[in-house]
Amino acid sequence: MYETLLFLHVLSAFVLVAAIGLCWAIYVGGGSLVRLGAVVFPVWGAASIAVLVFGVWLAFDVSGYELWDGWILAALALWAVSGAFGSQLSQGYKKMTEGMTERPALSAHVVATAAVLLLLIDMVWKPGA
Amino acid sequence: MTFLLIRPDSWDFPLFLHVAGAMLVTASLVVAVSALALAWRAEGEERAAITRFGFRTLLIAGIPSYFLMHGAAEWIVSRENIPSGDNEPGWVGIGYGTADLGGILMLLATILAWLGARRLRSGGGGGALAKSATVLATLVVALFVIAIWAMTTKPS
Repeated sequence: MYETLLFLHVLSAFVLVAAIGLCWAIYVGGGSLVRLGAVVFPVWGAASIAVLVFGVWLAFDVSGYELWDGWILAALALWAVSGAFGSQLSQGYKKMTEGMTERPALSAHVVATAAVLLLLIDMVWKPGA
Repeated sequence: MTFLLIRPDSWDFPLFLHVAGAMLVTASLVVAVSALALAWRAEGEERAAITRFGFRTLLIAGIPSYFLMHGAAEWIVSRENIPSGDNEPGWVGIGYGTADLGGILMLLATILAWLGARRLRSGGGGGALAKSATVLATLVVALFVIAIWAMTTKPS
């Protein structure tokens, strides 16, 4: 059970990073790549939820991890930050596709990416575990 | 209930580099595949531009990330004292196999995307080359999913 949960948790994280990569591609490439937004953001959302569900499930499954451990709480906070900025980017690119605005701010991309990078650091080092 | 196996702290940094490299190379491949697939439906200069974007993604992001992932994997293996030869665990063999084959296919995909982008730019065709690059890059993504499965479930 542990191995399957870990595989699904890690695979979801890879999909999440790929979605962020696609988001950067839309930002950098612009133009016709904006069409990718229709796929990227639903995938980002689904991967984000899957990371959370399998991560919390792992925390319950593994003896020695508790949901209120500092590193898990930090991961939950970082997950919320990446999700919030992902949602902001989704709305921004939707408006851009409709010709209502320019592309979303660079800072939103940087914050979402930094949150996921910090999540990976948190998952590897597990401070306090 | 599963019990924790604590790894030494000294493994954390190479593990971080390995996972970060693997995430970056996979994301680069997904971006390249998406761009190259999008180019299939485009025409003219737009098609050439999107194909060039896919090629540059493989060259600038994919290949360096691959070396980061592979180099960090070697570092971890040297730290963990994993037996080699007949006693090598199955998951390590799967990891090396998928990484080596994936690396060769990614290099081929990069060359094909480059040739395709050049020909499309000069108006001399090149669509088939770019499509071949898309297929190869997609295969590498599939190989890397197998690698993720092997690294997380550690069979045998």
